[in-house]
Formats: sequence, structure tokens, C-alpha cells
Amino acid sequence: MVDLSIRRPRGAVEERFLSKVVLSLFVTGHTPSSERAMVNLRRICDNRINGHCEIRVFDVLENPRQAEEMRILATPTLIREAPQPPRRVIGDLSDMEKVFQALSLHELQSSEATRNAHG
Amino acid sequence: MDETGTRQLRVLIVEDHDDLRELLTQFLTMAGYEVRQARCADTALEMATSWPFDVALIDIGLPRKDGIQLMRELREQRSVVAVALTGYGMESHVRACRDAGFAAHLLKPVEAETLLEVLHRLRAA
Repeated sequence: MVDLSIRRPRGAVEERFLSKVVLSLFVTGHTPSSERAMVNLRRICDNRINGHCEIRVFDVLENPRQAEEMRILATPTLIREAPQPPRRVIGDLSDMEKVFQALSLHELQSSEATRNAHG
Repeated sequence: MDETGTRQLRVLIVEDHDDLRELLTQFLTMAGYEVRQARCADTALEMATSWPFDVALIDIGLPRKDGIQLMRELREQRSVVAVALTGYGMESHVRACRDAGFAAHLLKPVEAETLLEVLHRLRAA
């Protein structure tokens, strides 16, 4: 489990997440795509979620029951577990924008600019 | 047609679990395939008459009529290339899939890259 706190550069538009995001990543061992998914997930959390993120990584070889309970069809699979409802995406997470879209993460963001505009 | 002028591979997904079917559709669409989906064997059989898919990706554990039976009935309609996606990995099960005419048997959870490789290989064949 990893908690990330990221400092934003001065002057940057600050995007905040309205609630904590919990992401579970299911991988199969240490295959190249598993490794890529883990690196990309860290990058997404570092660059886009600004520390409001808890990551859980499950190896389906070590946690077959967990994988079965979660009905994991393919690996890597990333699940947004919180906030509800859950959302899923399959793949190595290399396209950050598509991951955001698939997990509806944009909907959880509010930007400082937007808040300022509304006073 | 994609950028290289090659027609997209048409994949029919047959999976009864709604979320998983959508997830697989999203994944394969993002990977560049043309995808349609069916939630049960009867719908798949109906779709097969009107949509000339290249590969069917069939969950074996379908309710009422399972993937093995679906494959048998599809083959009565036309020539079919299909991949079994299943939670059962016993040798007898693999053999049953092979006997039914499946080109490949993939055990859940399958590595996403393996799934794409199998589809790519079937396309090349």
C-alpha cells in the first residue's frame, strides 16, 4: 500500500480530488507488462492524482482467491475501488488519458481555477 | 480500415457477465479491433448470421447453453475461428474445447498481451 504526497510547482493550476482514490492493480508475476503497469500507475498517481491516492498491488499467482473474487479476466487490470462505483481498465496503463477516462477519474477532480471562477 | 490500410479484425465477444464483457470490449476496441458483444449463446448465434466476425472470444461458462455447445452450433452455421476464455484449466476441459473446434484455450485471468498475441496469430493464420 502506498500513499503519495506531491508538491505542485508554484503557479500551476491545482487540481484536487474530491475524495480519496483507492486503486487496486492485479498483475501476473513480474512479466514486462506487469512491471510497465506498476511504473505507469506510479506515474499516474505522481503526476495526476496529487497524493490523494492509495495503491494496492495484487499478484494473481500469489492471490488466486482474491483474483477470483474480483472476477479478474485479464492482467494487468486496474480497479478504482473508491470512490464507488468501481471502474476497471485492462492493460499496461501506458495511455494515461485513456486510463483516466476508463476509470472516470476526471469526474472526481475539481480544479482550483474552476473554484476561483465560481468565487 | 486502420492507418496501414488493413481491415480491423472483427471480434465477437460472448460473455454473460455484463461488466466483464464491457471491459473486454473496451480493451479490444482500444487495441484497434472492431468488437461486438453477446451476453448469451442464443444472441451470439443470431449475430453470427448477420455479422461476419473473424474471431469469436467465447466464455465457456455461459448459462443455459455453454460455450462448447455454442461453438458446435456456430460451426453448423459457418466456418468459425474461436478462442475459449475459461476458468477451467484441467486437461479434460482443454481437450473438450479442442474437440469442439476452438483454436485456442485461454485460462482466466489471461495476460492481456497473450490475448492480443493469440488474436494476432489467428489473424495471420
